[in-house]
Amino acid sequence: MISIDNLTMLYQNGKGVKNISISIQDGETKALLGPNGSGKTTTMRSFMGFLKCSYGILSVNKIDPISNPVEAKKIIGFLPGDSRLPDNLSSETLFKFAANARNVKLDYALELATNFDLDIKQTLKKLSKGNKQKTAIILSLLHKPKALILDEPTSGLDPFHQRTLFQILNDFANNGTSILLSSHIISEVEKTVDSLAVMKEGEKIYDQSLEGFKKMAEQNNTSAENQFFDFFDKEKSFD
Amino acid sequence: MIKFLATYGWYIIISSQRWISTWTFAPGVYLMIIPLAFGNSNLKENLIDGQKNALETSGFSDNSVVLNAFGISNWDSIWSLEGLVSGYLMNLFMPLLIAVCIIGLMNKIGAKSEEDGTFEFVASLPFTRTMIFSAQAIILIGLGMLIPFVWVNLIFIMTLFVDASLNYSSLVESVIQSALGGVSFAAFGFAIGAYTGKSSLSWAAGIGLLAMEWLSGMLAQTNEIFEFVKEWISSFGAYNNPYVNGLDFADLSLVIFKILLFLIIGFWGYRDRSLNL
Repeated sequence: MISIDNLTMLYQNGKGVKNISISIQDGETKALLGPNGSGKTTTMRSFMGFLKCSYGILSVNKIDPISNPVEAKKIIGFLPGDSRLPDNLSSETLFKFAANARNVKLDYALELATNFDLDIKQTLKKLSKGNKQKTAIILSLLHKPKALILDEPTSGLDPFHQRTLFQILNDFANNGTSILLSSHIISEVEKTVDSLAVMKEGEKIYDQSLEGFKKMAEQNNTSAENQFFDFFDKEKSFD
Repeated sequence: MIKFLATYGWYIIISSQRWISTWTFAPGVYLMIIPLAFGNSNLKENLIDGQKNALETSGFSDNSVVLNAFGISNWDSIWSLEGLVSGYLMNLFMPLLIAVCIIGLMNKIGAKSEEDGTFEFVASLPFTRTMIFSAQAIILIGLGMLIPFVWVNLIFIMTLFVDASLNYSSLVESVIQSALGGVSFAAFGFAIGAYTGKSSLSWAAGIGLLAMEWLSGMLAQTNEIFEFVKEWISSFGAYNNPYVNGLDFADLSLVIFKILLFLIIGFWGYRDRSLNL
């Protein structure tokens, strides 16, 4: 279970995230939606302890990732939003390093590489953006984590491998993994998630089940996508 | 901890292998020209003696500030291979090369990797900041001491093939003090990089400290403050030609103390700050 309670993290320019509370149960997949700069990445990086938050009670399976990062990161799989990996290394080398660091075997990483049609012998500088993203995804999954924090996991992936990714994420969720994944658009994730939270300008403005969200869209006689856009258009009209 | 050091150390080495291999061998191969010049009488006459005469004629040899600027403590002795290596190369050139090499390397795995985003992957692994900083500090000191040994060994190997000689044990003593000096500048650069997460500040701090200590040595005779810095603070000032005089405990202690102090400062800032992603 992933729990974020009253997370506040402000940058020096005053921007950041304020009073974010999100809870993801075992086996639940939650989408964190919002436009660029809404605070999705900041929330995820703060949870991982990369950014120092001013306030917030965080936990993953009752382990505080700030005070006990080693135990927490053993069970978390994290995919950065803009995955940058050393260009001179091959995917295989990176998998070996991550597997060693996590004390797990390489088998699952190789299985995932086969599923993603990834040539693991190539150095990253020779890989396309999509193949680099596959490498980063496998690095976040190879230890079969109990919690997954994925920042824009579909970025750069073609539709076929997006489908592969969501199949894998469904398997993880069915095995009890809590998944938080961010995206800009709802249509990309609506087939996979159980619930969604919407962020705007560093604050959470909506957090409900996907079913509840779809009902709201139905009541308003609009599509899920337009309902999502309405969060921002309506707010604009009040500005 | 040992398994972590082996795993993360291996990653650091392979992800920076081009930088490390270039800096390990290229300066050493280049410096092999020194024994070659002294070992060939024609070359020595034209290159070494010719320069000596030209510099004496120009009055260079009488100007202590200029001599100090080049780290030369004894004008007459630097025109021999032993004098040049121990009194000029080790005194100024070696610490400068080591500082540049190690600051560049530490930035690749530290501050620069935060800026370019490659550190986010490492940060997501089950390591603490203390573990990461400790491993980086070990790499800093380990490679900072090892790489110059490769250079001087290449120089020494060349002396075996030409008519020139160096005392190996004195050379080792000399390179220990010299390398520690270079490591101290690199440690300051690394510390500021770790404290701020900014590679530009890392370079500015490491090379800035080197320049400040170099200028203090150059101007020591003109001002009490510079004299104080040279005597009590400077890593250049701590180099009292161990090739001739042997290693001095006080000089070694000063530079080791500086390295430890810089690492403590760096760790203090690094342990609890936001990463510069």
